[in-house]
Amino acid sequence: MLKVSGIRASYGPVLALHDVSLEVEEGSIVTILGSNGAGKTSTLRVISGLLRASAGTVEFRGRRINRRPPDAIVSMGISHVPEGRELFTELSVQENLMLGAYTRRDRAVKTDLDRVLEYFPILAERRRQFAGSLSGGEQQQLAIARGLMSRPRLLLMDEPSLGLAPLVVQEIFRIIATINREERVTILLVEQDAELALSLAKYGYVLETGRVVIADEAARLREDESVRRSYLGY
Amino acid sequence: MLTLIMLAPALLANWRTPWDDWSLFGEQVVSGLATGGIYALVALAIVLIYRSTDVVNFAQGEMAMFATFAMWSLVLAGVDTWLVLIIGVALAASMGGFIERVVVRPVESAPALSVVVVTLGLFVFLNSVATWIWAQGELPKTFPTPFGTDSVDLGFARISQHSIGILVVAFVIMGLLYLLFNHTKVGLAMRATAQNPVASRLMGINVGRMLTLGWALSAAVGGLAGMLIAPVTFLHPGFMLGVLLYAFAAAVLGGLDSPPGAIIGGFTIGVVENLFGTYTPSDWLGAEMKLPLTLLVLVIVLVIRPTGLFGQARTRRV
Repeated sequence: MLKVSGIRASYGPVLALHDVSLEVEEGSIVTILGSNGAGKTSTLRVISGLLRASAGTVEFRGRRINRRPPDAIVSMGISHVPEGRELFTELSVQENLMLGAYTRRDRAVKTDLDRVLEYFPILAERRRQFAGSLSGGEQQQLAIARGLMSRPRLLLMDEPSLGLAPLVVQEIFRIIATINREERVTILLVEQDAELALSLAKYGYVLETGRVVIADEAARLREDESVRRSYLGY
Repeated sequence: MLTLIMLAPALLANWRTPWDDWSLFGEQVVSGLATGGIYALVALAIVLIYRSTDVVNFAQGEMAMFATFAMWSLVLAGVDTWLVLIIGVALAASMGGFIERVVVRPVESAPALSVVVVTLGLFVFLNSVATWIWAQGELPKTFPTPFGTDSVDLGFARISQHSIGILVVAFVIMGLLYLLFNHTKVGLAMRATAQNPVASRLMGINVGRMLTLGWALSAAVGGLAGMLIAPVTFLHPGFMLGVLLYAFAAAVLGGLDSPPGAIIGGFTIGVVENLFGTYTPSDWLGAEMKLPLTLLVLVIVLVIRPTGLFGQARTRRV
């Protein structure tokens, strides 16, 4: 479904990605692991069009999408739930969700709103509240819900557990698994909590200083000595 | 000090009071509201740009002046006054959009001070070009009102048709802006862009287009205000400067990022300005003192409430 081949990207003079290649199979959950600054977020930013790759290609369902602007990429079915959530804090929950459907021209947006809210009952209760008034966990739910409003085939998620209490994280991951199963949305997940990510994912990549250093089935990564030592801590 | 106390009765004796003539008071309040409507529109224009780009556009008044002068040419050519108003708004809008694309966009990521300098440069440029093209011969020029030149007796006061026209147009524009921002998709996208451009791009919003649209909208509102006040102030290259100062005061009074604040600020300043002009004795406080006295009220408000009447203290992530 998604094929990233040999991408290079930099922020000004700082090279963030040297050579990243990865593949995501339709319907699966794939995770990208790595320490801070390894290039996980940059990889997602290249895929969603926020960051321009200076070399390499990104193909989505057989079509090349790098060099396309973010709005075109959203319309093609890729939705990015960014690090730090990036909500419109001074807009209501409902307005945030409607913005998620901004590129859509069809009439099913309203029914989708209700359907998405079924996964997040707490958001349905708080539809009229400012997004900024929600708790951290609720904000993360809103960010995911907003990402779903564009009816994506592929959801890019950047650190959904960031800054959340363990119980809240469990809840978020339960929702992610449900969405993947029931909505058949493919998920590319960047996550600090490697244990949790590998328990959910089918396949995993480990990034180090802008390069893929390990790529394997999630189950095998959990057994891998170096991955265990570096990212699982046992 | 002592002299001041001794002089006080004499000074106060010269003050007119509303009790002397209530219909004068009514007239001054309503005509203050009318100019206040103009200040409110220009303040709204300033707030629109400030909210979406964090830029205080010092050229706001000169953009309006330029459009008004261009329309004056059409008036001379015999075009209908209402039509002139509509063409003027369209011209101002395209000018605003053009300026955003060509002049402001390149310095978008430059430090705030650079952008301020750019808008000041724009101010000087537009003023000079307008002087060069239009300010020949006798100044100021007259600009026609589309509302008629009679006055209407409202019972408590006689109000000019032009004042009433300004108020009606101001309220209609405010209503339209409210509908645009709160009940349309493009309005929601503009608010989103103003708040979080990165997230807006992720939603698939063309952020650049929203900024252009914001400037166009702002220039249209400002230009309309210019053409509505020109029949009162007359037309010369500096005619929007006073309006701009009051409008800035109104925007700041309202909190600079609050559209309702800008509107209330505009009306307040308009009325305060007019009452100052009417009731301070002209032998020791001339009309020249209207502006500083009005600004003094602003300073006092800001000392008490530094974020303005309706502004929020914004915490920013660094």
